[in-house]
Amino acid sequence: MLHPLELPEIRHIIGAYLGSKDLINCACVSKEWNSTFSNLIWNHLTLKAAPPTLTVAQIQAHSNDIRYLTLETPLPDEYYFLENLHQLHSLHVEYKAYPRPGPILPHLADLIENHSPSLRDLEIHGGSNYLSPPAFKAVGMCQRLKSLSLNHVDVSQEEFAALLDACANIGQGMDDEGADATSNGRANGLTTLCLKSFNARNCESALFSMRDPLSYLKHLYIKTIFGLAPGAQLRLLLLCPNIRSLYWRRYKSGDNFLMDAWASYAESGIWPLLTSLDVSGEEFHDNGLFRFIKSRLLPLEKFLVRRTGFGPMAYNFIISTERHYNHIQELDIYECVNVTSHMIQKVMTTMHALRYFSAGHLRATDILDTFSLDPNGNDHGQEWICKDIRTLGLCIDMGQEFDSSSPEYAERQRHVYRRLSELKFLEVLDVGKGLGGCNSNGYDKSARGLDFRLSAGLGLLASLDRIRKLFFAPQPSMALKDVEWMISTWKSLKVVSPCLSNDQNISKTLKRRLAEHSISLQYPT
Amino acid sequence: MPVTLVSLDNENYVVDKEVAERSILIKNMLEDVGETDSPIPLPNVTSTVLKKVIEYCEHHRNDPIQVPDETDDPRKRSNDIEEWDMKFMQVDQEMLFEIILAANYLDIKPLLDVGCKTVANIIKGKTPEEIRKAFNIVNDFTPEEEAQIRKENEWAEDR
Repeated sequence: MLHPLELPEIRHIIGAYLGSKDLINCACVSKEWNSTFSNLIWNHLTLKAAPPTLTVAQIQAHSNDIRYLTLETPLPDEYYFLENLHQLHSLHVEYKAYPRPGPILPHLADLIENHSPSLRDLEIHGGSNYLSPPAFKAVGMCQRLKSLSLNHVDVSQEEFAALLDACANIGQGMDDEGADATSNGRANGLTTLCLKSFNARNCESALFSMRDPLSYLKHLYIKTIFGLAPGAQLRLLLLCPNIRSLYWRRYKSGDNFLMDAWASYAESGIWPLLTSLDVSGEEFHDNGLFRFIKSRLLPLEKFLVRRTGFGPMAYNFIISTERHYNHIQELDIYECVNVTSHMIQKVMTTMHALRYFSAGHLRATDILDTFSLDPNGNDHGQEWICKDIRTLGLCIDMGQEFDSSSPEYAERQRHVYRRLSELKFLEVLDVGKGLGGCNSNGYDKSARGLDFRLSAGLGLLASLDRIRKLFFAPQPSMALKDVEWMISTWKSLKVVSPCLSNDQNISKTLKRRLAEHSISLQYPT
Repeated sequence: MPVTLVSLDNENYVVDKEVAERSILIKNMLEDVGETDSPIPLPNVTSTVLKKVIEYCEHHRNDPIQVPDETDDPRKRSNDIEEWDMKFMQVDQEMLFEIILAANYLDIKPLLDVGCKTVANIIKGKTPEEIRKAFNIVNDFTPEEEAQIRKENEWAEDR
């Protein structure tokens, strides 16, 4: 019978999960194995600055095996003249020194141009400085490039124009080979552009004189562009009519997003495919978000609007529009001052496609609002229907209505646990959002977090067998049996909140037990 | 709608369509023939293995379909195997390899990956001789050749 290890493609997949040491051992096993694994060793090449571990000649001897190349500069110029790496898919250049003024990397363009037929993925990272490589004309030659990421890069007007041209034109030459592109299920053109700490001072005229849209771009990720006024940044968005996803962050005290103008353009149908939004900042006010959502004819997929003005208008539209509430997979409305506990409960009982949900205060009163018991003791409270959810972050507040030692309180807590226990696919659960750590002062002291002890109903969560990370409000008095139960019940558990007990000695014991099972103590990020 | 799968040794298994469609091979077959009640023969898979594969597909019926991303660097993928899968893969080596072959044939990428990760974990930390022993592989290198390979790849050791 055929053995899978005799199949090169199977050996290839196995090799993808091995580090270099193991790959070398595999390459020594037999001639057949050598043919697979010695290539894999060269798939990934990282050249570190000073002194480089490999000579140019050594690298060239394996030019057909190198797929992912990382250059940690400054490297001698000769490394930028590497050629004929025919399989080079991914090039990552990162500056690792602290030079002043910022380096130029004059020959990076040669390296890119020499590999323009194969490059799919290019990342240039200036480290703690700003790089300004004259490389974007060469980037424009990479007809297969799919993703371009620039971090701490400084461009001149001419280079910025070349960058925009590259984004607009890459892929056009491929249209004639349409069969090749579609048969592999690949879209043409540069689809992902990521600009982080991108300096485009004095570059506005390049934006406004740009004629061709960047029509291949699907994903635009902008984390701080310096030097472009809000109007110019909006112009950049207008040049990208086919984006599916937008991530946008401003500099702390920097320019604001032109929300009203953006919403008007969205209403006029400029970005018909934009269904994933990840933004933050007060400038994203409720009315603007409402107008944006209302103009979406396609279902929203991701709506991550932490710390924005998201509130009743946008919320009511989503919750009453089937194409949205039935499809949204990721929703983040944490730290939005206009979001109420009632809204959060309604999200949990309406949006069944949710896989990721992050929000603030959810009061037990709202969870149990419609809760009642029939004569058989069955719960008729409104069900949380987001049963596929993997990550849930909330601040579940048990409230002050009942004394924590009363039977009513105990019963309410068990009902909250029952609700949580139905979300069987949960991998990350945070029910203490904003309830701070042991020493944190800024948190909401009026909220009362869930009690994570077996005596309070923790055992009801036994069904969450996929849980990896669990965060809760500081616990005053967990005991060894509670922690032992967690360890033996949740086999996938890797991380829990660090505040387990106010008693220093008990706390030490609990932490030691967790450490023995490689469960680390962390605050949620 | 249920689908009937027939193993090499003529055992019939009735499973939900969404479970069967975890296999891209079966999914494509069903799309080609349209609505059908006729059983699907899987002449490369024995009943013991098919049972195991169905168990996997049942457990993962709700998982999102993996979207293959070409530029995705395989080294950035996680090596972790989730708890359930780990237990599922606690089988003898013969079964492990049969599952891998079946996953490859039926085109169930996540199962193939879990199988290959399991093999990778067996390989990790072993010397070439130990690897040969573990998988019954004949050494066709001379000691000199082996030393030469080691030397050529010295640069990669410390990564």
